[in-house]
Amino acid sequence: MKGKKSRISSLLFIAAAALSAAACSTTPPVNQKYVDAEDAFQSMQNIPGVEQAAGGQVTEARTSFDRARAAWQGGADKEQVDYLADLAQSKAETASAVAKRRLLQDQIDTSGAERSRLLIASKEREAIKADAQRRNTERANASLKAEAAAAKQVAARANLRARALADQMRELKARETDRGMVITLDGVLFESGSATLKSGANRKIERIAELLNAEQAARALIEGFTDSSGSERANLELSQRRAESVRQSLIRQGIAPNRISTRGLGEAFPVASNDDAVGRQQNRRVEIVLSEKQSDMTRRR
Amino acid sequence: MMDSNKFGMILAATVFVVGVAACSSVPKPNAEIAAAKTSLDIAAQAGASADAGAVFAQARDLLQSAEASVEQEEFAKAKRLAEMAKAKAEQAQAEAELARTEASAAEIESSLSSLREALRN
Repeated sequence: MKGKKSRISSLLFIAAAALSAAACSTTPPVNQKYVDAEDAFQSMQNIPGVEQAAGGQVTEARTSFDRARAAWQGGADKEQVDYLADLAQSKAETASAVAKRRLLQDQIDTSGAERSRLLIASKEREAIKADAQRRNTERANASLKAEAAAAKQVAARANLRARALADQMRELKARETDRGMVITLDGVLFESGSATLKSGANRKIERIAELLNAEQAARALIEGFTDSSGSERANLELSQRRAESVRQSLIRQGIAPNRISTRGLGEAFPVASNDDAVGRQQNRRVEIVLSEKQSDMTRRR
Repeated sequence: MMDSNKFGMILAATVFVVGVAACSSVPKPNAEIAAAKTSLDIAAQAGASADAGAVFAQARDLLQSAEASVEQEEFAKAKRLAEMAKAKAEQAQAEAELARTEASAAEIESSLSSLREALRN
């Protein structure tokens, strides 16, 4: 009886001593999960401004870590320490992530404001550029328009000149030939057998003078012709005198003498039959050939 | 002095009561399981399964284990598992939201630096 009682109480005493020894030990066994939790907790605390950015989560993490520390230092069993350490680590990670996100969000807001500011500045620059381009284009267009207008005027003037020339040619009944432009003065413009030009020829002479004035490079060859009545020699001489008469008229109109040459061709080169009066009248004529090429004019037909 | 038999019986009775109490004094952890489920849903909506996949998977597995423990009437274990599941779900949510914020920040910084470059010229 006495032995049993003393054995139980001794066992109880030893157990109690062991327990108290464990509770009072200063270095609990190393627990990796606890170390990891400590690291996570430290990282959380190292985030600048973490309390302001994630106050609630930080408090929760701290409470959880305190529990884990108490269990570890108090020598609680491994399973308990592991569980509390895991929990504490998770909460510390959560607090860190929440804090980082809020701090980053502040930065995003700042950057976003600057981006808006720069976008406005960039658009202003674009607007200024576009405006300058527009003005350049307008200027270019205006000068093109002016050029076009000037060209039009030049063309219009040239057109008028061409029409005037065509009109003149029509009036003069001028013909384009391979020798040049040929204007015919018919014999009605001379008195019969005379080399004196009647006043009816004046307008034609003026027109021819205008043509020669307009084209300074042009020269005139005046050829006289007669019908076949009368002697060949007389006709030759008359035709020459008539050609010369026309030449003088042109010189009086201000055309330089060296631009005008003459020749009498007499009965040669009739343009109609000499058998009837109408034909003979047609043959009695003076032809004025206008050309820039002397050689072409004097070429015999 | 108590006689050893009586002492032993009282000791045994105490241990028994304490032991039983340890099992049945922990109620079925309905609130903790519900809270864990809610946190998991919120994390899922925050895109945690994509942006914080590993932690999210841990949370989901822990919740499943908690529910299994409830079925086996291991309520203390279930409660701890549920609490851990909730903590992990919140962690997954926070990490997913951080990941997306980091992506936004990168995008803004990039467009900001292009704008600065363009205006320099």
